[in-house]
Amino acid sequence: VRLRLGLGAIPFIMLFVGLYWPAINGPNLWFGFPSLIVWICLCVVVCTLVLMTYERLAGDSE
Amino acid sequence: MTLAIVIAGLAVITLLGFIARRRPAPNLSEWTVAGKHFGSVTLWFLQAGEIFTTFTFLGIAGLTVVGGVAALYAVLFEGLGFLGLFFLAPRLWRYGRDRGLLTQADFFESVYHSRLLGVISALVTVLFTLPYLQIQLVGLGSIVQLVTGIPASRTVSIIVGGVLIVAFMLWSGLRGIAYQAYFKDVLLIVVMVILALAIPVGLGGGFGQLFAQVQQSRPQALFIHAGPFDHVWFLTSLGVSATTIFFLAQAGTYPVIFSARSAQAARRNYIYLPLYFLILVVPMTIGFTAVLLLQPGQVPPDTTVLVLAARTLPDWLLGIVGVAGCTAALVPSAHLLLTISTAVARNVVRVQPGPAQYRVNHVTVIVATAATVAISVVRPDLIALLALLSYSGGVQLVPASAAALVPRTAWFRAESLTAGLVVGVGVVIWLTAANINLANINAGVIGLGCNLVVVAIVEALLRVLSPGRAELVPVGKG
Repeated sequence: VRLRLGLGAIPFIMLFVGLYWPAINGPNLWFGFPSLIVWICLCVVVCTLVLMTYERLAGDSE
Repeated sequence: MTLAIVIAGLAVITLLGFIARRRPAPNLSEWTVAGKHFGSVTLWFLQAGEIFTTFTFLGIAGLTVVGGVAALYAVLFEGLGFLGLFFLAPRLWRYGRDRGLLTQADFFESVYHSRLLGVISALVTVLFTLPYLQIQLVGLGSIVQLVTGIPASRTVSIIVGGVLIVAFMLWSGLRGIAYQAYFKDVLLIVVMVILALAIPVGLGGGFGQLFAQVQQSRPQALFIHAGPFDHVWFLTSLGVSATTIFFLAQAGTYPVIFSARSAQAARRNYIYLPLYFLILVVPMTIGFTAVLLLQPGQVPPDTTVLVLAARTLPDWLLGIVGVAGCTAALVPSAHLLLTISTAVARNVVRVQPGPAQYRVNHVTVIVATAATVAISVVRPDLIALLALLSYSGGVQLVPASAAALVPRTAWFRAESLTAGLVVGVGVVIWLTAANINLANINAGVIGLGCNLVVVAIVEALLRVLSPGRAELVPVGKG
């Protein structure tokens, strides 16, 4: 349960880091895109990676 | 040319709704959960279809025009919500399968042994779903009008759309929505790629050049800052929407989960579903293009996508964009209608399960659509206020759903949850109707706070007056 909670917390932590760190939430461009857009897209990808890990853990326990 | 393609597209969508079944669904259960044999892929399309609406298609670009990157909340909240649904959906599926449940109110009624909670939660569902249905139909009218350029096509398309929805919904129910969702979700991805190439690349000179220009002329659009779309607005809007999904407070999700063939199918579709919402970056970049190319107030923000598409695309391609927009209105409309009609038939109008209940469901489909079409044509802005409440109101069901589904929390009584729900919904409606300055805090957060306080107070009082644990049917482990 702790592992699952820890994994699930990653996108939420990333969200707060992104919103309050000026290097991310600022008028900056990364790869030609606004840094916050790149960061939030990364959060979305991390959500899927976390869910993939959950599924793997669920498969192991079934 | 454009009009012909839009008409052909509407015909294809309707046909897909009809060919889903050889004969009309024989009973309410089959109509609502389609034999309970959908796999992960179908569920993926159904849920993507439910969430990707006209608001997503038109509204994200509009929100970007006025709020810049604050529109990003709509890209992320689904992914965060699915982190909870992944665990709760299989639990709900098992519970619902054993008891033949079809709706969210069925679930509350079964877990808490409370008909009152079932009725009130069903009424809350109808109250906050009808405005969303109206948004879809008004959006459909706007899309057809903008791509065809014919003013009268707005009203005609709303009426025709309403008639088509009723026709295929009465025939096919959820199975028809699933067939249409395959078409809709694939078409939207294709159209988003076309729009990305045509507008930010074609008009804006490419993504790099586009954002470099925005950085020069409107740098404040590239980050969240003080103002109407500040950190508080972003976090509370995202929080309310994600919490509603996370704890299964959205009534429309229940029939979809009950239609799964297995607990695995009910949870697996969530793994890749967050990625679908990355395509929302496309309407966002279109919004940024509009920031550069259009004068403030030159066009209504929500029409940005179609206005810029009309400038760049040939008629036939604009017609395909219009068809995609129509699917983004029709498929969620059908889903919303299913949510409303089953809540009324199962949980509000109390008739014997069987043919009578099925008839009530069908009459509700017709009446709800007719009323929404009439309001959409006569006063499209009449219930816009309630539309603002969709997620803010829906999140008030979180205490009841979370207490039932999350382990070790299932000890609240129906009376306390019902009191909290009524107070929470009342506070949200009052705050929004009175237009009270909340310092950019989403009204749903304040409503939920009041809701939880009332739940705690009533629960404490009940325990003093009548000691002992609440009698609940355990939902079990996921």
